[in-house]
Amino acid sequence: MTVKDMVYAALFAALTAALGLLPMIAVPGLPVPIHAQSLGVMLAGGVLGAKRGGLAMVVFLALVAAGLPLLSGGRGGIGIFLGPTGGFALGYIPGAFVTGWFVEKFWSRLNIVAALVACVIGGIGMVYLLGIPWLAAVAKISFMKAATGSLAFVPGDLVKAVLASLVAVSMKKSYPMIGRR
Amino acid sequence: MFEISLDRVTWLHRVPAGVKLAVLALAGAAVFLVADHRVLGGFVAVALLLPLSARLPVRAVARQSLPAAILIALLAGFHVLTSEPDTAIEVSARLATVILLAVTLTLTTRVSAMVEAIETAARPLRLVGVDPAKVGLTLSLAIRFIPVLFALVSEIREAQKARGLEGSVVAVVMPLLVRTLKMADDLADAIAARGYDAE
Repeated sequence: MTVKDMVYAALFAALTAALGLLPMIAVPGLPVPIHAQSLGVMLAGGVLGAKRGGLAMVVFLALVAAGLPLLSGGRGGIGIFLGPTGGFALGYIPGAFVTGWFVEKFWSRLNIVAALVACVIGGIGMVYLLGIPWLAAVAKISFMKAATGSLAFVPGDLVKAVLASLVAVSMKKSYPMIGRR
Repeated sequence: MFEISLDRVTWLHRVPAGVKLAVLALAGAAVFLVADHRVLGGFVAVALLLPLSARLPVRAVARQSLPAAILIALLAGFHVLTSEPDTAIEVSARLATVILLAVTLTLTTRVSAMVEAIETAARPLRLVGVDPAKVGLTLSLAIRFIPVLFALVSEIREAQKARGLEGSVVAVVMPLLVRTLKMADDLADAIAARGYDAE
């Protein structure tokens, strides 16, 4: 880990915490309002790349576990990871890493579609990949039931993926981070 | 800085963070290995008695456990409806125990003590090339910059409101990212200028 890795990870962890301050985005026709905080997952990967993005999420979750009230609604503490939805929180780490991995792959020809693919596979796919089996195991419900129950959040996450892709593509033009030391 | 743990010192505050974490891990594992309702009831009773014995304010405990409690109630209801009342009891007793113990730990452990515990736990990572001191520095940096980023978010929101852009997430996130990255570059330079050796 270089000084830069540490500093970017630390500041993006703080940024993810600060995104929790933004008001919920209500999208007409969506059942659940969207919270800006989990945008931090896709932004960390999409702007910083795989390694630093994943590290940023490790730092963010470590601070939550350490007892800072950084999650929406002033929640935090180690209990977040032990409850039925703990898998979704832990999924932030591979979520940011995989988003960053794809953005790095597509970097030279990054456009909104490529960025969206990265955000959907990483920021949504990886998070649910950990979250759903965890929920099923802890709550003793079937995998299908757990997946169906999580479906309500997918439309909101897709809106977030579009926002994050827009931002990732503009950031590549205005402040490119990937491929820079 | 703001944190969830209570300022008032209780006997649980004096127990080292590492001990509390170990107890939580053991209890968390044990509670998933037993299915006997009486044993599970015992676990819930202990998990309730601990915060009471330290006289933690009920409101603080309730506030931190409420979201989990709602979910537990929903899951229990689901299992009752699918005519599995035994599973309902098992699942809710297990989750209630773990959540109550975790909330008690969080309310009675300072963030600084937790960061130290994380640094200690990171020691074996030296074998794979991770310096535990760096882990501690990174966490401290993040904690130091949370209030800075909070202030930055409200500043940018004010500015975008003046431009009539308060509804746009992108209009807030873009300047936030650019300024965070600039801050990170300056900070990295400042650390390097002081001769901090990261390799």
